[in-house]
Amino acid sequence: MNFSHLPRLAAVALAALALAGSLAAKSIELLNVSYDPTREFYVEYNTAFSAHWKAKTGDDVVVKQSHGGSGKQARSVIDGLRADVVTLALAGDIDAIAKNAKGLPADWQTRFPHNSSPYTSTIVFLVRKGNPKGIQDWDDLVKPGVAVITPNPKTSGGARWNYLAAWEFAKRKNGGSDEAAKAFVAKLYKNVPVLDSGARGSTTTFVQRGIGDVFLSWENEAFLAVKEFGADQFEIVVPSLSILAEPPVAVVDKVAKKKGTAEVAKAYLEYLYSDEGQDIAGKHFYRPIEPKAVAKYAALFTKVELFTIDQAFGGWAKAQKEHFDDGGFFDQIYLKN
Amino acid sequence: MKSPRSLRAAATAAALSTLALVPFSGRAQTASAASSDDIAALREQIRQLDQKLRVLERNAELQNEAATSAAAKTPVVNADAKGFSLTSPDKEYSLRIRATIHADGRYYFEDRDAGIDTPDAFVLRRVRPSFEGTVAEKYGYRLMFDLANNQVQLLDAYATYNHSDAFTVLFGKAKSPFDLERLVSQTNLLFIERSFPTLLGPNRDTGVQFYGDLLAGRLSYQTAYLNGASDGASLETESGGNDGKDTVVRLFTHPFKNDQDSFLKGLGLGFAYSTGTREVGTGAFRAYTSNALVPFFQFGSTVRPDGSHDRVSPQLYFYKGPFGVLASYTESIQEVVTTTVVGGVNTITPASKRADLTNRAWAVNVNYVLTGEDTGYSTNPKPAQDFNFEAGTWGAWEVAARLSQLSVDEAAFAGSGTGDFANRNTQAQRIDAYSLGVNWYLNRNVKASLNFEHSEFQEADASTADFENENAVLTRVQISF
Repeated sequence: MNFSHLPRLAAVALAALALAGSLAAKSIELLNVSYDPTREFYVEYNTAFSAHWKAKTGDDVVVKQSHGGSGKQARSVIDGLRADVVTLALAGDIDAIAKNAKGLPADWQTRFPHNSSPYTSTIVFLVRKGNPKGIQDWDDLVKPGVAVITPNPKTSGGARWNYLAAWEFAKRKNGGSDEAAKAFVAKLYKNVPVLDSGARGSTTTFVQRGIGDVFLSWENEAFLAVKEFGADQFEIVVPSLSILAEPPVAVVDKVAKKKGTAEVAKAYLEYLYSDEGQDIAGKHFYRPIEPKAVAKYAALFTKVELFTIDQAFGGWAKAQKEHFDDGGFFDQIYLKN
Repeated sequence: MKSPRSLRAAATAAALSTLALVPFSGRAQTASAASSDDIAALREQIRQLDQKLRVLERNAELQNEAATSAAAKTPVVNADAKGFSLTSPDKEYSLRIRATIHADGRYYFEDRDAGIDTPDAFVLRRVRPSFEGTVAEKYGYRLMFDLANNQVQLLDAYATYNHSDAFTVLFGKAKSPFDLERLVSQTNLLFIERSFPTLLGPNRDTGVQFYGDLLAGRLSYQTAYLNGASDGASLETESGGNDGKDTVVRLFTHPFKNDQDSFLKGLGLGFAYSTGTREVGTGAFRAYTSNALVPFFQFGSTVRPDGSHDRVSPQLYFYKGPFGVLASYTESIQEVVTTTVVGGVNTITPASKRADLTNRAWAVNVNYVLTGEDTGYSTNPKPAQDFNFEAGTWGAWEVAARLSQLSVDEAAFAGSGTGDFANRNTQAQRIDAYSLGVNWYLNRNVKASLNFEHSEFQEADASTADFENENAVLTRVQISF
């Protein structure tokens, strides 16, 4: 064997690499797979992060967004959608990615502060101006003739928060009875004429298509509807009890490592906890978690008694299995309806 | 069938009509209180009806969305002018099946002297199925076979890794990135046969290639490290391996590519260079042929390459609307040696003669699409209207002309007897060729070509050889997808 040609091969390769490397601009592309109502928030946040990263490293980052019902989005990532990061509506959906796609470790929630939830939210009621059906609390939703708009809990994270909030309300009102809660939620879903796959779809149903009397909405989505369509069209009603929604974020290691974007993907999510990230979250009606932004936006959010998923349902894994997996309570209720 | 939206409009209109008539229906003065209740009841009925219809509409809308979403997750099967393909929903995996058939005819007006008798013939010049696509998004592959002449030849077999537009690496067998006209796809040839510079450049070769586009596509680079193919030949025609290897570098620029209004937007300029060493065991040389594929020069049967082999090739093209010009020049500088066959092996002996020969070729192609469609490098005009006899549409028509020349180093004929390296009594030293062509693009997949080739030869020794001019008509019907 003649090894004399190896240096020439190396020289050709290095020359090509050097030429390509020196003349091609370094540009990084991330895909953020998120749930429905975060569209506007991440449009602004992505611009801010790109500017931050450019100033810090000189590299250009373009963040592409994908939105849909949280469960549906998780399914897409499991099926191969190459998300560098996921910013979904609930931890259970990211758990599903960890479990089924082995895309990240099971303890992913310990990687960022506050259980990897850089902002929180809750569920409120959006009603038409003047609140013609007089809806004030959860038990008004099961009255005859009240049309309730909420997405499908099978595909939407927001819908699962809605469902669980209604369940817990009924359970507390009926002395802790799960049977009573089940009957209450079944009655509520009898009043649901359209099941969208995600929260944004339900917003369209209620706000643009003019269907229904009340929309069980993410707090930020309700604020956005009022802001966009005017306070002369809609009102926000805060129920007596609601759920503390903690939408989590995570790097999908499997994809980010493969694409060589692990470092920037981590920095992208870390920046959500920065002053600027928190401020943008508050601006888009998410409840910030860092004290400075909490103080700034405190007046915006009505005080309401909130319970957590851990307190009421023993965590997402348990709630998912009992209520939303095939054959769970929701199937029993809805298929029966 | 009426849509839910029109149903809603109709129902609302009917209800409103009823509502409008209520105040005027019988005993108006005595029923005012009752009418007020009726109106409220009717209003509520209308509201409920409206809500029901809105729900129907929305559910229909959601069903459509679900169907569209499901379609997006289904692999895409496609059959179009570019072939047949199968693509995964995320577009990361694909397979495209393509094929090219060239059914040619060759008609020679007279046969040349020097013992060359070329029969008129119908031939299948190319019968080439190919399979190409991607796996895991950034990795590509291509396999192409030629089944012409009742043989199976593997022409292309390579894998690529596409890091970015600026950098792709290719492993395997593919066209050597050297000659401008060789790099034109077989389906997009202006003339039935490529011209002389391709006879002095390498054809397909095996090794590793790196290439990409820089400066927003204005500069393309290709570099390769290959086994080393003889002039005009692919590796498979060589009888043995070559330990010397070839390095090929080609730079090509489109300086005005991104200037939308520039007259010179379609200008491309480039330069290719290859260098390597060839060993005596790498086999005989390939004959040089006229554009009608009749051999006019062949080294002696015992002549072999031995030593350095360098090539240079400046090249350019310019395309503007229906007009195009493509020109290239190639010099091939090669050390050759005479050998003696010992025990069936070509062997260098003390009596062997050596020479460093420089062979040169150039060609200028000009084409014009009579029907006005755009022409371009390695693209066929896309007919504005496909050929359809009944409809009276005739596809796209193109005329082309070519001047080309190849000259063999005179030193090849030097020496004792009939010449050390080539027989000056039977081989020509230079060919000048004049080509005219008409191409008829019936549609994007079918093309018919007619070429007239006139070749003039210069004998190495006019006192002992007399090559008559060659006139030939070549025809081709091409089907490709």
